[in-house]
Formats: sequence, C-alpha cells, structure tokens
Amino acid sequence: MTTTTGGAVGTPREDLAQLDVTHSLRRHQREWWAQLKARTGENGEPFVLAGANIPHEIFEAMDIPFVTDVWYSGLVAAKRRSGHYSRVLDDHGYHRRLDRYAGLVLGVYLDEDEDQEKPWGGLPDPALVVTMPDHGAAENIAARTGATYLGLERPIATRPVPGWWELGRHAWEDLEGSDRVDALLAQFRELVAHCERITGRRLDVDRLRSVVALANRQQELFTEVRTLLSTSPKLPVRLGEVMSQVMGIQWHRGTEWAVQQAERFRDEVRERVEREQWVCPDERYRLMYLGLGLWQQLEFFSRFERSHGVVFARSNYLSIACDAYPRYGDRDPLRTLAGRYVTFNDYLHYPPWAGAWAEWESRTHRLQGAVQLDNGGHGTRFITAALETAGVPVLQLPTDAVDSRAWDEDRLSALVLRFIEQRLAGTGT
Amino acid sequence: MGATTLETRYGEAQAWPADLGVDASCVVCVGTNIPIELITASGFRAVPLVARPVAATPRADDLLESGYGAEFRSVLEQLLSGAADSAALVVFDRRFRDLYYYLKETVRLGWTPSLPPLHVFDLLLSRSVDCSAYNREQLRLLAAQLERSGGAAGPARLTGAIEAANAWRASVRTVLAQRRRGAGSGTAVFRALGAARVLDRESHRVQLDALHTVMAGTPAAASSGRPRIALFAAETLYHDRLHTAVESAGTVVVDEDSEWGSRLAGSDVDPGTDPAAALLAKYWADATGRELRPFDARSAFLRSVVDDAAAPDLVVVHVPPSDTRFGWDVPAMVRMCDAAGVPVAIVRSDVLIDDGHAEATTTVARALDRRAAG
Ligand code: SF4
Ligand code: SF4
Repeated sequence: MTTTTGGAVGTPREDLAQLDVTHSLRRHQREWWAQLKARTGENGEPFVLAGANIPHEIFEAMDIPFVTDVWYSGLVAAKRRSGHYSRVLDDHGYHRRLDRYAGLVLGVYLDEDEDQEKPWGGLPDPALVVTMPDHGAAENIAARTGATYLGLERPIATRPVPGWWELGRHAWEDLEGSDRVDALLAQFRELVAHCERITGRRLDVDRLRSVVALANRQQELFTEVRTLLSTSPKLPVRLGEVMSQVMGIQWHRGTEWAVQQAERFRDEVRERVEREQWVCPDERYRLMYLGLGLWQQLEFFSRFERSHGVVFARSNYLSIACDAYPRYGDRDPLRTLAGRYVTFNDYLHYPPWAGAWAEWESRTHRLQGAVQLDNGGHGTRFITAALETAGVPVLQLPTDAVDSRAWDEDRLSALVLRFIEQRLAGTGT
Repeated sequence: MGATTLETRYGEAQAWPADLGVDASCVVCVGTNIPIELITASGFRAVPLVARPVAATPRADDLLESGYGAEFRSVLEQLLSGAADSAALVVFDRRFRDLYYYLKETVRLGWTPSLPPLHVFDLLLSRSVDCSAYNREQLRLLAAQLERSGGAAGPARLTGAIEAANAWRASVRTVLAQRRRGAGSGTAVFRALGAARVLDRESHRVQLDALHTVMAGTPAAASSGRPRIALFAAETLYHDRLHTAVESAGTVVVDEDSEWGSRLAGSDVDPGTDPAAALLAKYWADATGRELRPFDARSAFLRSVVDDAAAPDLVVVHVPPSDTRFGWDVPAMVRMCDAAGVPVAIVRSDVLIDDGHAEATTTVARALDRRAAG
C-alpha cells in the first residue's frame, strides 16, 4: 500500500470488477457458437475463417457462418491452451519467433486431438480463409483444410493527414484517394465472388447497406462510451472490461444484437458515471495502453490502482472502433467498406497517423502517461516520440516480459513502478 | 579477368561505411521491384541501395522494433548516415514501405534535413485480381516525380532503356547457365552478379560477357564431384556469407532464390506498342518476397528448381534466428522438396557471425553425409 505521493488510500471497488453486460455477452457468444456449430456441422453449411481487419459485414449480409481468427486465439489463451497448441506448431516445424498468437488457430487445425478436446469443440473446416497478407499462418490453415485462401493487399498511403480521425467518417473518399479505394474495392468484389461461389447465393446490396448502417450505429454507441470514459471526473470501468466488451461486440458488428449490446454497455457505463462509481476513488494517474492483446493478463490494468492510484483509461480497441470503423455514405456500401480498410492498419501503427492520434487522445482523456508494448510490431518508436514531445511520458514494455510463455510478473511490476515513481510523480491529480 | 574484377567490385558493395558515390544525377533505389528503365530513360543513373553486412546499426535500432531483421536495419542505417543525401531522389518498392513511412516522418520532424525527396513505387502483386489501373497510376506517379526531380523521359528514350536492360539481362542469363552447368564457383559467380550494385549496367554487361567467355571454356569438371546446392533464404541474400558457409562444406552453389543471384535478370521487357504496360507486366511477374500470394507464386522458383532434370543434390533453406515470417513457408517447402525427392538442410544459425557461419557449414556437411549414407 505504499504510494510515492504519500496520500491516503481509499477502498478498492472490487464490486465494480465486472460489468453486468458481461453476462449477456457471454450468453450470446454461447448461443451464437451453438448455432454456428449446428449450421456448419449437421447442416454442412460453408464456413469462413476471417482475419481481424476484414469486411465481416459481407459475411453478415450473406448470412455465412464465420469466425474471426484472433477471437478464437483469445479463447485458446483464456482456456490456458496456448502452450499445448504452441507445441503442436513446434512439432510441425514452425519455429518460435513466428507470431504465435495468430498461429494458435493453425495449431488447433493441425492438432490430432478429437474436436471435443479443443476449446469449445474446435473450429469447423473452412471453405474460405481471408486475411490481410501479413498473416503467415492463415494460408497454411487453408492448405491444411483444403479451403480457398484470399490475402488482401492494401495500397500504400502516401498522404500524411495527421487529423484523419476528424475527416474519415464522411470525407473518406477524399482522404484516402479514389485510386486506392478502387484497388481495395476490386479485391472486395473478388471476396464477394468467392462467397457467392461457396454459398450459391448472391449478395443483396440492400442487405449489405443495412448491415453497414448497423455497424456504424454500434460504433456511435461506442463513441458515447469513449466520451463517458474521457470526460467523467474519474474512471468508471476498468480497461480490461472495456476491451472485452468492445471486441466481444465488434466481432458481431452489423447485427441487431450487437447494437443492442452496445446500448446496454453504454447505459451501464453511464449509470456508473451518474452514480459516481469510480473503479479507483483515489485516482491520481490516468494512463493509456498502446499495443496488442494482454488478453491473458487483463488484470494487469488494475494492478496499480491500489498502490499508486493508477488507472488505465484508454486503449486502441475502443478508440479505433470510434474513429476508424464508422464510414458513412451508402450509395455503394462495398466501396464504403473499402474506404474503411484501405488505411486502417496505418492509422493504428504508422507515422504520422498513429502518433498524432495517440497524442490527441491523451489530451481528450486527460492522460499523464502511456504504456506501450514492443511486441515486434511497427511504428511504436514514432508513437513514443509524438507522445513524449507532447509531454506524455511513455513506458516501453519489452516483449520478453509480456510473452505469455514467459510472463514475468515481478519484472513487469518493477518496470511499471519505476515508471510511475520516476516519470509520473507530481504530474497526477 | 572478369571474375576477379567483378569480385573486387562486389567487395566494394559490401564495404562499410557505405559510400554509394551518388550525386544529383542519381536516383537511389531501395528494393528491386522498381522499373529501372523508367529511371534511366529520364536521364538518371539508378543506384541500388542494398543492405550490407554490418556489425552495428545504432541509428536504425533507435527507430525499429525487435521484429525487423538485419537487412532492414542495414538499409535504414545507410539512409540515416547520409548515403543517399546527394541523390536527386530515393525510390522505395512496396517491400520497403515501412522504411518509407519512417523516413518521411523523420523528414517531417526535421530529424533528417538532408535527405532528398522520398517516393514509394507501390506495385500491387495480386495474382487473382486485376490491379493494372492502380499499377499504371503508380508508374505515372513515378514518372511525374522523376520529372519534378529534373528528369525528362520520352517514348524513344524509354524504348532505348528497355533494350539496353534486356541486353544486360541476356548476359546475366548466360552466366547463370554456365554456373548451372558446373563451370566455376557458385560464390564467385554470385559476387560477379552482385557487382551490379556498384557498376552501371553497361559496364556490368561487358564484364559479365568476358566472364562468360572464360566460363564457357571451363570444363564442367571444374566442380565435378561436388554436390550441387540451391539456396532459399528468409532474407534477401545481400551478402555472400551463406554461400561461403555452404561451399566450405565442399559443395558448389548453382542457384539461389535471390534478386541478387539467380533472379537478378528475370524476364525481358517486350516493349511492343505499349512500353509502360510491358514494364509493369515484367515487374509484376518477377516480384519476389513474402508478400506474394498464394504460396504457389512464392514457391514457383523452388518448384522450377526441384522439378528440373538437373535438380540440385541438396536444397539449403536458411532460417536465421531473426526470422519472423519466412518460417511459415518452411514446412510446405520441405514437403515440396520431399515430394520431388530432393533432400533439404535447414540452416538456423546467423551466418553473419563466425560461429553461426561455421555451424551452417556443419549442418550442410551432416546433411550431405546423411544423403551419402542413403
Ligand atoms: S487504488 Fe483506488 S480504489 Fe484502490 S485502494 Fe487505492 S484509491 Fe482505492
Ligand atoms: S493490431 Fe495492427 S497489425 Fe494487428 S490486426 Fe490490427 S491493424 Fe493489423
């Protein structure tokens, strides 16, 4: 219970650990999964395995059962089965420096165990696997299961517009450049053609239009949540909870359920704010978390509340939902989706977009610092530079400290504590 | 002659610190998927900036995360150390887009005030979707940038540049054919080809022709009895360390899946009536690298090597400890070799350091012993 600022320490709000909407999310996931298994099992309907930054709206509109690969990786990790499937990858000759998180799903397909032994009974064999091309495991899944593989190429962005988040919702065509949107749209059309081939059904553009509208509506509700988190006097929900809700809903975007769940989520956050229920009543320092995952270690984000009044108020997961997902203009909804994805990855990771965005968010969320994970990603040094220049100190967490195979709790805590004591002291409220 | 002169020039291409000897008449090219013909037709000398084996890359390390390998670090270190500062322009291909993004930002932040303009040539490689409209626009943008940088291309000059490049490619191919025949050391030929990094193509062509004459007069017996090896590596072979390690095991390298080796020339450009379309078609078809999909496209060279009547005795696959992507292909590559009945050795050490180099030699020697034992 020692704090560097020497203040008294309040009562931890353990009762705020879990949002009530967690239950409705879980319930829905179970039902959705049972249905998916039935449709792809007994009914023999074709199944699509998709990467994260892929227009899932197409599958939703065509009523094709699909799973987001990283969601299933998260499930594997949560079931503490990463080690097992990692060894399966070893046994098949995939070395350890390859992105194991993305690879876990391949491990599940390669594993000779019965499906019942696998998380939630394993995944159906896909008819189609689609990802961005920087995903090495996906093509191997397709080869293993006999599926068609589609890897989409994003044209490079050459116009550095730092304020992209203000322009993108409506002016995406100007922001992204028509030739780039055209190039990705051509690939989306190919994706649609594959979906039509495997299902024998045609894409109904009106249906896609309403799916995109529902997805936009959901992101608007998320934006209300973000506003609540950034403007309320103290943090009403822990970051791990926010991330779980946001991604749990995001993988079902474009459905009525997703909009309703986002509403319930927004309402519950608003209620906490109205009742002034703060996760850390003695909140002193607000930080952002930059980077991927830590899905196995979500409690990391609340570990320093008790001792130092540190809360994590912002992550990429909610903010990208607010700023990069919503794209309006429904003349050609497939084109609108191409407008969403053509620079998506760059906004999250590359200069100048990612740094400018993080800096803007640090101001709107009243943050004193940031914690960033060096997990072999890209662009992190420039995000750090942008934040540090703006007076927001950044702690760079080394990969080996957070690797799930070698999660080093003590070392990690020591790093964060030193950061708080040396770089944040005196900057808090 | 030939070989030794070219080997000397190869040595220059490996030296550190890098001195590209560029001035305002030069366009520095980072990556090989760039239409050089358009650059030379604009009156510039196209100078490749290729990674060099270097012990330390402190400036690059400040900007790159742990997932980037030695090749990107070395290229970025050169650019941050002023190697291209005097050039008219730096052009990156799609593979090097991260460095393009990062350097654009260092310019914007005022960290690198002396870098020349930076341009990226973004050729989309999809094998199933027609991206020719986008790719054509990329060619137009490159031409416009060359013009802004003081170049002037005309249709006649472009045709001339294409013909000159085709002549150089023909010479490269004859030397490669001699090496496959077993005339001479694989490392020496690889160095001779790699001298393209410091020589202009016309001088290189003349010297390759001289080398070819020598090789054509050499009986294949020069390397007879030595196992013939083909190399497949995670990183571009910007150095000869893998070659020397492998040949130290008493072998001869006859092919390498590298744009600085067996794939240096690629196919010719058929100028025809639409030179721009022909240029795009060539660079699209010859593209190498991890981003190429599907696997059949990435592995087409391996397929051609193992299915050849004169298939190598051993395929060596190099997966250094820094690899984060190539490894996804390795099991499938091994299966392809197995199916063709060609043995494989996987080298996992870092050949840029001496211990790793020695370990690579041992790995290859052991694989050959196993092969001899049946
Ligand atoms: S961290 Fe916050 S909630 Fe926890 S004890 Fe301290 S003041 Fe209370
Ligand atoms: S986090 Fe970045 S790299 Fe990963 S899927 Fe999202 S955009 Fe791609």
